[in-house]
Parts: sequence; structure tokens; C-alpha cells
Amino acid sequence: MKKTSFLTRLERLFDSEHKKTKHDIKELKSVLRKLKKKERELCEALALTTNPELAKLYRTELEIIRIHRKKGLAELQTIRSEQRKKS
Amino acid sequence: MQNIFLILSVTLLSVGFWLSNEFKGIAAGVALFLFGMLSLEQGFKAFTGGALERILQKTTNTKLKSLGFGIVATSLMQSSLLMSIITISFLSAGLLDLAAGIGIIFGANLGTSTGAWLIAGFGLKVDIANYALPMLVFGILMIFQSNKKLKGAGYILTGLGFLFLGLDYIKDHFERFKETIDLAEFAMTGTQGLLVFTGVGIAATVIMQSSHATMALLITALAVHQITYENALALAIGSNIGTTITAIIGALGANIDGKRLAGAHLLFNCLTAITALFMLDYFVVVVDIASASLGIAMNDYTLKLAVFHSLFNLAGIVLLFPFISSLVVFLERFIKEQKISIFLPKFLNDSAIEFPETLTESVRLETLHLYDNAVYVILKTFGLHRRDLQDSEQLLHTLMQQENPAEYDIENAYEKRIKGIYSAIIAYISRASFAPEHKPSAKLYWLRDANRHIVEAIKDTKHLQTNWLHFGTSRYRYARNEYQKIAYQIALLIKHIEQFKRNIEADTLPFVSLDTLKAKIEDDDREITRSIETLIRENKITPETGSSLINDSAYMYSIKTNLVKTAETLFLYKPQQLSPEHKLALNETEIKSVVESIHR
Repeated sequence: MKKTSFLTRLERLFDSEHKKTKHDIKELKSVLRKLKKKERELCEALALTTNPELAKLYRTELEIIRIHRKKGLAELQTIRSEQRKKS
Repeated sequence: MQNIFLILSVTLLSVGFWLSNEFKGIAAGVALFLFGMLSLEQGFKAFTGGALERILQKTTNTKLKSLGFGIVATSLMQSSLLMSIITISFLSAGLLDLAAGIGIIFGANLGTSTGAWLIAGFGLKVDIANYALPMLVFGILMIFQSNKKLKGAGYILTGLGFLFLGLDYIKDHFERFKETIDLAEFAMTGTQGLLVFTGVGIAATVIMQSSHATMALLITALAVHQITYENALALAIGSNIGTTITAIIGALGANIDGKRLAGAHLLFNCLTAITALFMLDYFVVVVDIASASLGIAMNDYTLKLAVFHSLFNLAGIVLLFPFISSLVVFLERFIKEQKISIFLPKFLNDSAIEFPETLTESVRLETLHLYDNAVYVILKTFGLHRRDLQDSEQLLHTLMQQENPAEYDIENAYEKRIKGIYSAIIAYISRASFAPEHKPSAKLYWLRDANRHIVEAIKDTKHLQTNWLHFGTSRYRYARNEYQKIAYQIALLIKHIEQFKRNIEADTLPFVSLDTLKAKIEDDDREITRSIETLIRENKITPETGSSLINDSAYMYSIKTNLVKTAETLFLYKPQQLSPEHKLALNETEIKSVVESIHR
């Protein structure tokens, strides 16, 4: 391992901000996974339902999840690019 | 009374100082020791509001863990008083249950006995004054730093420095004191000696407000043979009873659980003391056996006293720990909660203001209390009760059946159920913001906003009530239907919030559920506006009635958004920090775009 790379790794080990960023990324990824799962479940439920009220509710939730995922992915990108800039 | 006590103490001490230089030295030693304790507590307080509270919350889910936490934390902090204050604060804020609190206090009693070990084993055998002076210098240097943790460490170091210095003073002057007066001449034997010296131990601890200081005094007096071993045992028992007085004084400002905890502390210490007094001969034998197995010399009475102090507290734990649940039942029966009026704040007590976590949790619980009162008032305005929310169809039926709805005195209800609690919360938050150790946190600002939302919802309900009553007769058939729809939608939202609150633990994506509620509010608003326009177009209502309805639907929208915003702060709020989910929550424009897209 190169000396500079070793030092960078060592620095990261003690860098609390780096740890926090890593934790945030992990949390965000977990939320995005849950959103994806929920989206799939709602799509299946929407295809099966004949109740117009329920269908409307599912469509609303799907639209909300779509925006959540979009915002989540953008946030993930921002955190990663900031992390890259720092390192 | 306090003034008389102060004057009496000053006079007696002054006479003592005039009569004896050694007495002056001992008193100064005690003063330094007590100042050291205060400094130590101040130092540990700098570390509260973070790690300590997190550990406390995680390690007190079982009685055994609570006991362990009490022992370890008190041994480290060397202050059972600080442990009591923290426990009472957490109990008052509802972050601990009474059984866990009792477990901690039992543990703290054993933990505090490590102080006697330190004094007897280290304080008397090493020239601690040599350590005290550098500690004071480094401690003061650290106190001048701006970093909170460094400052705290500085106070701890200074505290230890003063403790050591005080102990050295006491030790030094007790040795010289012996040359003038031999206190051992006042030694008493038998039952009379036990009772008198137990009483002296109680009195000394109550006056000095510290069992540590009493132990320091009696261990040093024992070391220079100014008191006998037998009398020292009685003094140690007395100091254990005396320390509960401080805890009782501390519990006066606490809520009912804090008072029950002080009761448990008193019971524990008194029962332990009675057991120790009755079985003192057996204890002496056990102490001898334990000391021999620990390699303590038979004539090392100071260390044997430390063994006794630990053993009789341990005996108390062995005797009472299995009965903690019964003790909780007994205390709940004996120290009864006064029936608290619904109109008074329930959670804003002084003991919870000590630490940021307990303070925020108290405000959150009180806001929840205010929210419950507000829901009661809103439902009552529309002639409903909480039980009507159980079934949506029944709810609609109840509303439809209302002919000439009865007027609920909302103005009076606001004065009685809302205003007092709201004002108390705002005053409490302001008081906390003034305390130098509490920087007003973002969480407190959110909670203050949540309170404002609740009050706004009530004021909007009051505006809505006028036309709800006016159009409530069958004369205005169509308008009445619309007002019933408005009331139904508000009640339904309250029901959905209750469901959201109940299911929040099981809900993997609670912020999606909340955003769905927000979208529903937006959708309902569009729906009702469309419905009103249709009624005007079809001449079923007059344009004047229509404009009243449009105004009132705006009030409905405002009530609903205020209630959802409150729910967001109260139920989605996490004590640690902003979770990534918060950043994903939809804003007003995004919610509107969702509603538009589903209508497209």
C-alpha cells in the first residue's frame, strides 16, 4: 500500500465526520430499499384492486414514493460527491 | 428556620475556631472536601446530556441491569447525589420506570461505598497532598478552556484535588487534635453507644449533606484512634440514613415517581440500617472473615470499616432486591398520586429541567397532553367523543343525526384546557433557554411550533363553530350536508393520526404514511371546493352561504394541516438527530403536484 493511501485510510479511521457520512449513506440506502419494496407491493395491490377509492389511495402513495425515491437518490449523489471532493 | 440554623452554625464554628486551631483545620478540611464534591458533580454534569443518558436508557431495561448501572456509575462518579438527581430527572420525564429507578438507587448505595475504600485504602496510606496540588493547577488550567468536555474534565480534576487536599487537612489536624483532646474518651459501648453514634452519624450527614464527607471524617478519626471501631460502625450506619434526607429534599420538586423513588431510598437505607444494628455482632464476624480473605490486617480498622460499609449495603440489596416489584406496588399504594386536573401541566417539573434529554422529553409529553386536550375540544365542538372515532360509518351516522347541534362553550374550554398548559410549556421552554448549560435546541423550537399549531387549530375550530351552529338546522339542507362533511373530514383525520401514532413502531416508512395524509388533506380541500361551486351553480345554496362555506373549508384545511404538523413533530420526531427520512419528506408544492398528478 502506498504511504499516502495508508495515511488517508488512517485519517479516515479517526475522522468522525467521515464516519457520520458513511452512516448517513447506509441509512439512506436502507430507506431507498424499503421504498423500492413498498413501491413493488403497491403496484401489485393496484393491479388487483377493483375498489376506485383504494385505487386512488394506492396511486397517491405510489406518486409520493416516486418523489421520495427521486429525492433520496439525489441526496445520495450529493453526499457521495461531497465525500469524493473531501478525499 | 434556615436563617436560625445558619446563625447557630456560624456561632458554634466561630467559638470552635477560637478555642482550637485543630478544630479549625478539621473544619477547613471538611469544607475543602465538600467543595471538591461540588466541583466533581459540576464536572460530571458536563458529560451528561450525551453518553451517560444514552447508556442509562440502554442499560436499564431489566432490574439487574439497573442495579449494575447504579453500582458502576456511582463508583465512577463518586456521587450518589448526582446519581439520584439524574435518576429522578429521568423518572420525572418518563424515560425510566420506577422499578428501574429503584434498581439504580440500590446500586448507587453499594457504588458509593467504594468511596470508603478509596479514602481508607488510598487517602490515608499515600501522601495525597502531593497529588492534590498538581491536580488543582492542571484542573484550573482546563476549566479556562472553552471546550465543554475539557472544562468538565477540569472540574473533575479540581474536584479530586480539593477532595485530596481536604482529606489531608482532616488527617493532619485530627492527629494534632489528639494532643489536646482525646475524643476516644467519649467512646460508648453497648446499645447506648450504637444508638448515640448512629444518631451522630445521621446528624453529621444531614448537616454536611454528604455521606462521603462523614465517611472521610470518621475514617480519619478512626485512623488516629480518636474513635473506637465499634462507634465508627454505628457512625457509618448513621451516615447511610442521613444521606436519604438529601435525596428527599431533592425529590420535593419531582413528580410522583420521583417522590416514590425517594421513599424507596429511605426504606432501603432504614431497613438496611436496622438490620445492621440488630445483627452487628454477626456483621463484625463476617467483616473479619472477609477482611482476612482479602488480605487486610486484623488491626487495619479503616479498611475493615470500608468492608463493613460495602457488606451492609450489599446485605440490603440481597434482602430487598427480590422484592422490588412488591416495593413498587407498596409505594404506589402508600404515596398516592393526587388526581391531577386535566387543565394543569402534568410533566413540567423542576427536576426534569436538569438535563437536555429529560427537558425535551418533558416538553414533548406535555405537548402530547395539550394535543389530547385539543382533540377533545375539537371533537366536542362537533358533538363528538373519542369513542365515536372507532368506526368511520358510525362516526358519519352520529354526525348526520345531529339536528340543531348543541353549542359547546369553546371559549371556556380554551381557557380551561388549552391556555394554561400552553402558557406553562412556553414559560418552561423559556426557563430552559435561560439556563447556561442548555443552548435552546432545534428540538425545543419544533416542539414550541407544534404547540403553536395546536392553539391555531383550536382558534380555527372556534371560527368554524359559528356557521356549524347556524347551518346545523334542516332549513339549510345542502349547507348542513357540507358542514357535516367538514366535521367528518376533521374527525376522520384525527382518527387517522391516532392510527398513525399506534402503528408507528410497526410502520417501516412512517413518513410515507404522513405524506399520504397530507396529500389527502389537499385532495379533500379540492373536492369540497368543487362541491360548493356545484351547489352554487345549481342554485342549491345562495352565493352568500357558498362564500361562508368556502371560508369555513379554509378553516378546516388549516385545522387539518396544523394537526398533521403537530403529529409530525410529536410522533415522527427522533431525539437524536434529523434522520435521512426527514430530508425526503415532501414539501407543500410537492404534495400539491402529487394531488394534481392523480387527478390528471
